[in-house]
Amino acid sequence: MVRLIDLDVSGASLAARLALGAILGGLAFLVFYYVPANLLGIASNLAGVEIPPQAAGVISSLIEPALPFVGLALAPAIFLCALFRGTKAYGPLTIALSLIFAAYVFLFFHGGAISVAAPVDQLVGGLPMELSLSIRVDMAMLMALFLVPPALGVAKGVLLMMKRD
Amino acid sequence: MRLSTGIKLFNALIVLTVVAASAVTFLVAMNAIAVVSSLRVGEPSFNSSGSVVEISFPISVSNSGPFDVSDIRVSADLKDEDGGLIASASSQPFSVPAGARGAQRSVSIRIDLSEIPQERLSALFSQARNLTLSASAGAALVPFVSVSAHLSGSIPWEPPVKDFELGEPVLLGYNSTHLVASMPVRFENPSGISVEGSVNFLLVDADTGSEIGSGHLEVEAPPRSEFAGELQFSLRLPENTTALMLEGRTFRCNATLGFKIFGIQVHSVSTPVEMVWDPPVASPYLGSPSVTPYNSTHSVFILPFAFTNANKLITLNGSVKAGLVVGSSLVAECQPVPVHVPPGSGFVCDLEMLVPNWALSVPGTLVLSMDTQLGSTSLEVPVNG
Repeated sequence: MVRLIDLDVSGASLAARLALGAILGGLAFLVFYYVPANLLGIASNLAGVEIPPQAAGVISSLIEPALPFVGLALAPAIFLCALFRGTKAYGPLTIALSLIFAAYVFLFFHGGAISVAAPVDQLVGGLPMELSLSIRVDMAMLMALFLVPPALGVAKGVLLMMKRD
Repeated sequence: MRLSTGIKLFNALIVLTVVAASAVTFLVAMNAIAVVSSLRVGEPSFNSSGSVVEISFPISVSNSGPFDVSDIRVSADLKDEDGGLIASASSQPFSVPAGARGAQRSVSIRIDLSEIPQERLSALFSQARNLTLSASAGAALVPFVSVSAHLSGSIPWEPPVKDFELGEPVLLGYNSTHLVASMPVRFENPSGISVEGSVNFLLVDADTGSEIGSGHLEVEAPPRSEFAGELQFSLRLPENTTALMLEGRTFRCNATLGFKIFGIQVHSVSTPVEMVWDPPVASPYLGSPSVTPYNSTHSVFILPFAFTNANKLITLNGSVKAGLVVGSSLVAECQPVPVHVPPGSGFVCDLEMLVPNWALSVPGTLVLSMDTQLGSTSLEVPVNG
């Protein structure tokens, strides 16, 4: 038996927790950190062409600079949640994970509205004019929808802590 | 126990909301893609009423998704370098309900030529410049996403009338009151719009400022073409056409050409025009008269007369005759000699008349008269017997 804070678990259970945590943490690392941090390279590989610098600028502006780092913080948080599930640390970890996820959602939606500026004449070759395009996508409602799960997660974490007390 | 149930409930709710948020995102994305891909812009239709030109683009859009697309709006302004409005486009905000098929709307570009100052219109027609485009569009997928876009930029404008040239005028014909002439007109249309309209030509005497001629030319210059045409016009002759018979003259005029499109003058060009008139009776020559006895009372009086028709257009037709006046009486007159002198040709004749011998020894006046299609003229030469 191995003691995890206030919980005794068997070696097999610990191994299972470690494996599950590693898998979920790895997936989180891939989805929430690696993809946004390497979006240009991935898009270029998927498209099979080198993305021109002007388009690269537009794509880069879709990703908040802090987003990959918050995504990176999700991976250990998920790993720890999987590892310490059922212990008294699980409640605070759930709250922490929910808050990090809420921050990730907020950054992903740029606070609810994404603004992109594109020099059209540079993106579309052969135009005999200088044109710039700015697009604003207001997704506050959609963001609010994605903030509901972390809010419920915080509430769940509070309940877990209350249950432990 | 209650807390455990609550935690289980929260777990279920978390899963449910994650699935719901993902599903909504997917549906919104699919809805947007379907609407955008269904968007069709038809052939534009042109309407003009008075000074207003309206170009309407029919738009057809379908919405096969679950959400209403609302507040769809398009607007655009086109301004010149000085910020003056040239054209504006707008559509009334409209919605496409979920499930709507082939909803028809139109976006109209409205140009009111009367609201554009003449000098700006003229500059647009004749000078390359940069125009400023400012366009906005927006739509909302209620209630989750709204999109607004703003496009701005500088568009190089090629003038539809470039390097306008008027050639040398050529006289074509005449009558007793007017000359008919033509002038080559040439310009390039490097723009993408068609120039269809008319050119009105007004000729004003440079000295008096009075209108002396006018003309009209239909113009049709497709995009990126060169137009060349002949502008025919009539030029009112001075009332004293006799002077034109003997004297060269340069008609100095100011020509104003006005381009009209949709009945509205959009551009005018003013240029000085000179037309040289060479006299049909140039360098008139009266030779030394000779007198030979005819009988006891009369002698034959022979007067050589010559001139050159310097005019390049007119064949001078008419007659010439001579007479001798003593005191106030016509004492001798010759038979009229027909005159037919093509342009550039010379005319030579001997004017013969029987003169009473007594008249040859007293002072008198030799009168040379010409009657032509341009009028009559006479030349008086004193003779001293």
